[in-house]
Amino acid sequence: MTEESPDLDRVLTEIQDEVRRRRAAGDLPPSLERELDLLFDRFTPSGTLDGDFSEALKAADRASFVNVNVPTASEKPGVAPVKRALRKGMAWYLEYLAQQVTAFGSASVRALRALGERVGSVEEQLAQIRPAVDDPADRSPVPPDLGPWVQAVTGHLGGCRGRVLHVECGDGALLRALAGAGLDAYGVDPRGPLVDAAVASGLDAWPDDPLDHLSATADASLGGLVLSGCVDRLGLAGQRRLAALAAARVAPGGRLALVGIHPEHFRSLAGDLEADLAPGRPLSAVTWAHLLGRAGFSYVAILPPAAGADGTFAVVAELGS
Amino acid sequence: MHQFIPSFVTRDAIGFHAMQVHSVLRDMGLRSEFYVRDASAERQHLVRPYESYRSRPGEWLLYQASTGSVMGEWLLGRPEPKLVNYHNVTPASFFEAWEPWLCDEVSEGRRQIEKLASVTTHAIAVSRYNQAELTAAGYRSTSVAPLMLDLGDFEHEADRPTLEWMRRASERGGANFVFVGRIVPNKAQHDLIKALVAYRRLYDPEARLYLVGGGASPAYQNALKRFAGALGLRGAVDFAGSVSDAERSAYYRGADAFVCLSDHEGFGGPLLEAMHAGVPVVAYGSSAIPETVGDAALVLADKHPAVVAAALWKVVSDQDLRQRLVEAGRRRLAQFSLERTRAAFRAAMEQALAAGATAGASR
Repeated sequence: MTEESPDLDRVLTEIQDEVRRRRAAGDLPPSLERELDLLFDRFTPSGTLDGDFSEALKAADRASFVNVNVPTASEKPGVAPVKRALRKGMAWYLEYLAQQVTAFGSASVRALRALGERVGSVEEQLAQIRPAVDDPADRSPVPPDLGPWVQAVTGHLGGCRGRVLHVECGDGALLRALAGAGLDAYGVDPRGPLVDAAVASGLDAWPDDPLDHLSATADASLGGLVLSGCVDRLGLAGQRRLAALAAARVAPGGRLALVGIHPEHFRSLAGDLEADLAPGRPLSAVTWAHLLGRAGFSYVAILPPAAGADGTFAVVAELGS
Repeated sequence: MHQFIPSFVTRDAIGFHAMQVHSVLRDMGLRSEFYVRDASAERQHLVRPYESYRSRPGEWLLYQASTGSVMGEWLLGRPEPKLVNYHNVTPASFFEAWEPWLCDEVSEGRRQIEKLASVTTHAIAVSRYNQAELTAAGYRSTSVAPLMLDLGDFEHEADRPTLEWMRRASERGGANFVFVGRIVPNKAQHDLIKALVAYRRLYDPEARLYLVGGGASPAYQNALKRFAGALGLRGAVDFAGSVSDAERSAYYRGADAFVCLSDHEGFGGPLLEAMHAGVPVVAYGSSAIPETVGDAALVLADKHPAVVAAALWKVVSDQDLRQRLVEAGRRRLAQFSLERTRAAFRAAMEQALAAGATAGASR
């Protein structure tokens, strides 16, 4: 027996290498983990899903009926008959209780519906007093062209240990390059059709809001992070929050790349309407470098302009070990 | 120095800890009684109702804090110097969707902890993780003394029928993975099931997962069972429920690895129990888990199913790693021997009393 403790860092590296190898070999479809998450979500109470009130009411309505016909199947021999006998013997009591609980549930749902209608009426009246600050119909998305930055970003993230996330990955152009460079990369994007295209091409991509996804990610769990798209649309508070989340979610020694649009180029791309009405607007490379440094990244640099990268910039950073 | 314990029951880690606290206090020459809200039958002869406490000059009140309780509110109003021995209150966010009624109780528990900060002389946390929560809650004087565990309580003759049952299930081959802990959302048994899916797909289609522990969240437990059913894992995931000491020992004996993917643990006693049983441990590095296991477990920063599966495969297939982890686990246990933990608690108490003396001198 040896008194020597195992070299756990080496073992963890071997585990990451094994995962990368199995993903690359196609042994673990990129969609599997997402499918598992979606499947479990089906069994979670509506409160764990997004805040859709009507869906929550429907779920409450479905749940208000108490079914006393408890399943009696069992893999253990002799148990199923016992369960059936118990169910039959207790049916008179359970049905009495179930009727009362069902009545309570139904009355509660009715009360909630009435409450929902009253709240809706209040919201309508408020909207007439105070118009929406941001009407999505007033603007069109202005995605940055990531093409000129693919080589530099992939080079900066090369050798990252652990998962590499691209927020907002779009149809996966950069994600494909990251995966091709041997990185264990996945992406999120709120635009469903683009995510579908990425998934269809074999990439690991999820439909999700960037800030929601990063908020739900565990601290120090990412080996690398790429930010684009949302960095140009968020308001200043959201941009600060994004920088803080990035620093919290990237593991010590991990790396970040951010691709953004030059503020002066934004108006020419978006047009006067979006530029004036957008609740958020792009920040300069210098400002992003400042925010990332303040958030905790120890090494931050603005990359030299890439060929063909008119109007866009890239900032790279590394979190101290 | 009298202990105030909301619920003082047998077969409970906090209950054993409180008994050891009592013994340490007596060794220090301090008179100490148990004041409780409720207690199991076996402990009734030791306790008094907390409302019956009558103050005497120079007495201190030591609160065993692990949940919200009317006792906590009562203590807030007491004028005697107070100590808090903090075991952690699970954040309410874990229960919000599953058990809203429990969410309120847990939220209230955390509020009580925060309110006690301004009237507590000193707080003793069972881990540095918990100490950080106390500091964030505003406690000015804190120290750490690990939970006093009865490692002998980990030694039970394994239940033969359970061992035989696991052996028969293993006849088809396949690894056995065990997790011991209540079925509650913060212990993330759903992530264990996801990891099992990945493991069976990548390495071993006959692998099994044994979830040992009572269901404290019916909604969550129901969701887990339906999840396992939908994945076709009814025969591969065993919901053992609340088991006897002998049955729990059998599950450890039959395990190839102990796997814990909890999102929140205030200490993680079963991790040490697994080490005592000679079972290698794979755990997600959240909350107090890294502090409890040290370098005696494979601690993962990432619990994506593929990563957990690869880690478990590494432990199952690499005999040298496995043996080193088992040996490291046995060495780790020495840090939690009763002799060491009693000494640590006594030192924390002396620090607390010194802090009280300083505070008294400044009043």
